[in-house]
Amino acid sequence: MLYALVQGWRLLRRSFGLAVLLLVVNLGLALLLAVPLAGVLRRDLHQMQASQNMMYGFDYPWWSQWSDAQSGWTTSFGPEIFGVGFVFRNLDLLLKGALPVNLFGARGDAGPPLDPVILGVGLIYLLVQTYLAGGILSTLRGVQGSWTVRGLLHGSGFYFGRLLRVALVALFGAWLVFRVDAPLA
Amino acid sequence: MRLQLPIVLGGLAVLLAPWAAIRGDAPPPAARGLPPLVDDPSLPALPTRSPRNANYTIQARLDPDQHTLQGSEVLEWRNTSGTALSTFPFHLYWNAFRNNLSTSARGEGRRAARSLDQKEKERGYGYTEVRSIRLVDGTETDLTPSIKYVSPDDNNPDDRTVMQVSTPSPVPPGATVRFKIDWTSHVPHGDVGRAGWVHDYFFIVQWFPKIGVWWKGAWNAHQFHPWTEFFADYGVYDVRLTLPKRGFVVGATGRLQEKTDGADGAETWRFMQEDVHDFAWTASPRYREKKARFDDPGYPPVEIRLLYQPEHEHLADRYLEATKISLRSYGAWSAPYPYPQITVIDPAWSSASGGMEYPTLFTGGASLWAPRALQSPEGVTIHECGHQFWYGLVGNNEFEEAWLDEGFNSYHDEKAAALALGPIGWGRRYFGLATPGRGTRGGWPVVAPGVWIGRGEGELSGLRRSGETDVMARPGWQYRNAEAYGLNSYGKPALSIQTLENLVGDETMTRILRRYARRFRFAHPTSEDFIATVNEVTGRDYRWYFDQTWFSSDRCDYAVSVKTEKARTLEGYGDAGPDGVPFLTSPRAVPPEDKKGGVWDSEVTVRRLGGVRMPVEVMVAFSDGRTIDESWDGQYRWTMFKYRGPAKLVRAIVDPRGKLAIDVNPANNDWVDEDGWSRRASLKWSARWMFWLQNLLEMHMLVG
Repeated sequence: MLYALVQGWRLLRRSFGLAVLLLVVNLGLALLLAVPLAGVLRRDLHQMQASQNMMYGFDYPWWSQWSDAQSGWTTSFGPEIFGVGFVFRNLDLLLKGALPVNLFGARGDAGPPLDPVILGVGLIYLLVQTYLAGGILSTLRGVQGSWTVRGLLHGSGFYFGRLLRVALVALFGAWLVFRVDAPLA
Repeated sequence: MRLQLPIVLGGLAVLLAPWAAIRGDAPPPAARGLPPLVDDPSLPALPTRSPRNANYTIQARLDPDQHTLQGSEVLEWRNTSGTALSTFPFHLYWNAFRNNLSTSARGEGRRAARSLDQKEKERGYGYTEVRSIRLVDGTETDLTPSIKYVSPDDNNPDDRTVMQVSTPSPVPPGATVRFKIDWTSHVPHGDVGRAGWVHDYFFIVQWFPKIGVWWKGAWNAHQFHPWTEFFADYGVYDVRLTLPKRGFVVGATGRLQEKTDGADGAETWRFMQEDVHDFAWTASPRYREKKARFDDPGYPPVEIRLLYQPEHEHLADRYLEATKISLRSYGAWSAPYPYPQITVIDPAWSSASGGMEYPTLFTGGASLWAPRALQSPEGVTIHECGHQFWYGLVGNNEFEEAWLDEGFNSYHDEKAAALALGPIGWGRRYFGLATPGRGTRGGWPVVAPGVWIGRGEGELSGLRRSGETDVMARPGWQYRNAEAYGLNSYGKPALSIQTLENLVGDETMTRILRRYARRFRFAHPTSEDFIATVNEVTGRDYRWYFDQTWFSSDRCDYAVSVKTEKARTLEGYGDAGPDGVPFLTSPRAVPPEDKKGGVWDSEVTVRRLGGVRMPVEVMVAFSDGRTIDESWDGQYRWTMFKYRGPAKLVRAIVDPRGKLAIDVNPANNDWVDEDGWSRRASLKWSARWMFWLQNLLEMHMLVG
């Protein structure tokens, strides 16, 4: 176990840029929505006393009316993502079958627990990671001293079909589990 | 290689920055404490007893295996109507669960008829079947053949929640008659209505045939609607409850008089209570019991008996303390609780009986994991105990004017909780099972750090959402939907009384409520009685206020906007010269030393965005520290205040003291001259949100 960890860390050091690339992919997709959210928040807070309150704490009355006026993906901004809440919320969504794309969640009148835009970004992320996974694996198992973009893309393209099938099998397995028993969904 | 360490550290800093910011959130404001009981000799004297015109002697036997109840009652009823009466309506509330065609089952919500499998059907329904009703007056006259079911509210022929019988001869005014009624009930499952059974937990309420109220010159006996509550006359209850001897612990309205063993392996519990208008009871072998005594100076002592679920042992003291907060604060703000005991019930898991009030008995509701910041069970305990003072002791008609109880109570419970416990935290529960009913173990609670909800702030969302759906003052069953009922019975009246308190002052508001509570104890008052009390105590006519709030569906929303700029200098044709021709002036260059100072023109526009018209105060502040207070009658759609002076206007607030608790959007009341705050705040919060989204994206990899 310890040996595997050490080996893994060595491999990571050897391809450190790869780890940065994965972080950039994650950050970039999140920024796609975080930047517009900042704009939405700024427009609503502009020249309101609530802006000062929100800078130093949280203004519940402002957020409450702001949230009521929102529709779509911006409604996901709320106190439930503060503190450790963000992990609980995401795990809860996972156990409710909302991830990915609400594939396994209940289909009620209220619709999915997450907005389709966020679910769509999640789907894109899943596909991008599935694509990159092949390149990452081929890079890490290679004997070269470091990785190259060319090598990564080659590996990604080469293994994409197979890893996509693996992902589909995993999703089918998850679907089976949720069909058998999904007490939270 | 040399870059790796800085990149790793930089990445960690970016990732942990939002987390670190959480640590900086402000702690909650501290509680301020409850006011003491003040003796005021100018207040009306409290009546020593109720009219006692509907007195019940009841014997009931519960079969916990078959979920049936055999009952027999003698109702001693005095005709206080001033007229001879020969027809008598009785509530049979459990017939709301008789079938899927009752008025209650036709509605929305928990009580609505559901598609059930056969097993669910058997347990989902319940009924009350009157076997016989006789007039007892030396001889017995059988009234059973005269039974008919009436539906005064919607003419639903399938609704049997109101039974009417006729006597052969009218009962004269002032006369007392006795009805002897035998009935059988099937206890519904406890996730349908408040009454019912769950496993070995029995919550038996609204369970016996109960006569209507002669009120405003007519019988007042409404059907059981999906969300309405109750109305009844006061009297003395003497009730014997027989159960199998299996270790049942019984809690009920009133005092336990005796407990006797029967020859058939059963035991009988006898309870009595004077001057109440209902009787409720519960039994479960799982109950644990804890007692406490409320004996604050100036208050009559009260024995508090808590019956709680074993798994809620750790919450018992919190239940008891919250009950004391309620007895103390409501007693000070209305009139002290007069009964020597009160029973607090912690309902069983998945029962729908939580959060309900009955005379001298009420249910709370708690989750296994109960962080103090969420004030559960404190909030529901203070609220339900608080009903004793309005629903219980004043006895308004909850069918027709629910706000006189629920609204007053919500106003008081939020005030009491804010003073005694501080603001409530914001939380969510995760991983909860989809179990119906209240008082469930609803998942793991997570409290959002630094998010506190002040008094009344939690009610505004509902007011924004459906405040214009219905006029508040409307019979309960005539609201458009359950949400409108909830808003107009709880949130809106609470906010409107909080606003009234801010307008007349806390002390005056307390005097109003104390006078109202004393004058109308046991008296079934109406909204008009309350408004008259407000006018009497304040010495002013506040009818306009109630027209704007209680008798209206309009919104209250004031907003402020500001335009502030350097005063203009003359440009164009000025005064005429010696030749009589105006000369053209050019804009004068502003000297550098005047750029910071100079003369400023400022306009403050206050707008009334909703239909509610209230007088409002306006406060404006300038960059030199000067402030000006203005006022506006709020009648027209907008007004403008203009200022010219050496300082820039930096802040304008409409309703600066936050008097208008009913204003649906307080955030637009406060304009500030800023640019950086909104930018920094939006960056801070969008970064936190991005952190959540990044984590959510990673969660996808766990499944896919």
